[in-house]
Amino acid sequence: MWQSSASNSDFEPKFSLSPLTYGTIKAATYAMLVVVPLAILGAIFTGYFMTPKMRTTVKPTIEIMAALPTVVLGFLAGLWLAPLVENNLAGVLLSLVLLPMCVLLAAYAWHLLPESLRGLVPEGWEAALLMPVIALSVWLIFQLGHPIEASFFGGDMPNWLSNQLGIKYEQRNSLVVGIAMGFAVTPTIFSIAEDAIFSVPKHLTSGSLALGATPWQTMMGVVLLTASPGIFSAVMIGLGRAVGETMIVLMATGNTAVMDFSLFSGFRTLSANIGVEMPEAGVGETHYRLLFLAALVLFAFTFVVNTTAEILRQRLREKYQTV
Amino acid sequence: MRDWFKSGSPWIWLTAGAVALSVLAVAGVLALTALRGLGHFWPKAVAETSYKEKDGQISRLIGEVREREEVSMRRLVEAGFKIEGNQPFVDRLLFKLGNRDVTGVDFRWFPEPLLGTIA
Repeated sequence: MWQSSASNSDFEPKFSLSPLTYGTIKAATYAMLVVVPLAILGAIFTGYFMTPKMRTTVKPTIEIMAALPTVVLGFLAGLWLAPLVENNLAGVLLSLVLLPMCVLLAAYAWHLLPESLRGLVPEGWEAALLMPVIALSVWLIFQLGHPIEASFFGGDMPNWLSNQLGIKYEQRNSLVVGIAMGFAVTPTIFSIAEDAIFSVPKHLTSGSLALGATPWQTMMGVVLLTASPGIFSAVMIGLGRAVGETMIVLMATGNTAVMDFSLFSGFRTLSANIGVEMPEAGVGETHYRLLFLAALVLFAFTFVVNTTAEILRQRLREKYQTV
Repeated sequence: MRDWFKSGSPWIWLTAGAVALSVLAVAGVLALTALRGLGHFWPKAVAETSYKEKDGQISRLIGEVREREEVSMRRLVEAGFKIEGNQPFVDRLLFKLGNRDVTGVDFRWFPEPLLGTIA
């Protein structure tokens, strides 16, 4: 490696943007892992299966989340959620796995109930039925968490992770950020995807149902395909928001510029870096110019994402225009 | 069960679960901020108890119990608390002491085993 300048910091400080870019990608990835399944599955139910009466209250409720300032979310994530996750790590990880199973179990139990009882709640109200189920399951899983930590992880799972597996656990980590970013990005994706699914022409779905397809087959084969350009742009707009998100990552990660993809370590993103270092940079010096460079990299990032998304969306649109 | 999976209804329920979770999350965040914020306007009655300091001294404690949570024993022992017994988790209580000029801090956590009876 050849460097035209001295390798010490006397002449000119040495900086690298790669850990920050890495951090941005990491934050967006974990956020999307939480958000995409939640928002799209939610949009599918709300846009197609839910009764109109329930939809009029549910949709605005979820959209309210977008109105929550991200500072508030970051504050909650950093000061309330991060200690909670550290203290109940087994419970949190377990609920990620067990919650869908609890929902399926409840659904099967409902299916086994006699017809007369099931008739009490008409179709399209499943989500309302599931709310107490989910609240109860989360509570139960959290109750399980501590005994499990006590018997398998020496009473303290974060400590066990670092000592036995060598995975360093930081209190402000990607898991916390993923969950907190979920609140910021879910309403965006949910809202656009739901609009796309809801505006699928009724004659298409009726036709499919009339030919004997089950509602779920109609969903997968007809509705999702027709709505795919809309869902795709929803995901991309959400991704753009996750990449540019500043306050949550600033407040709920340790802001250490580390390059590892571990779920339990923090990171420092480009946007948070600009926010943190802005007051420290002297006008006109290297540091100051570098912050602008960081901003440019961030812009390039969103530009590339949005352009590819737009091209792909156009292709999808042309493909399904005929249906 | 197989027919039930074939009918596709489990997946519909799963999507319903996603909506329910999202709605609960919104309601939860709003309720959390409201409860934490508004609790300030309705102070609870103060509790009185005694506390065994790290150096073994017993001190009198008056304050409002704000929170109770389970923490692992290891963290407390690492922090220098001398707690008897070997249960993996103990409860700790957050007291609002107020009077920062006297006590130095407004809020302080106390492991429950080191507290006397709370009146």
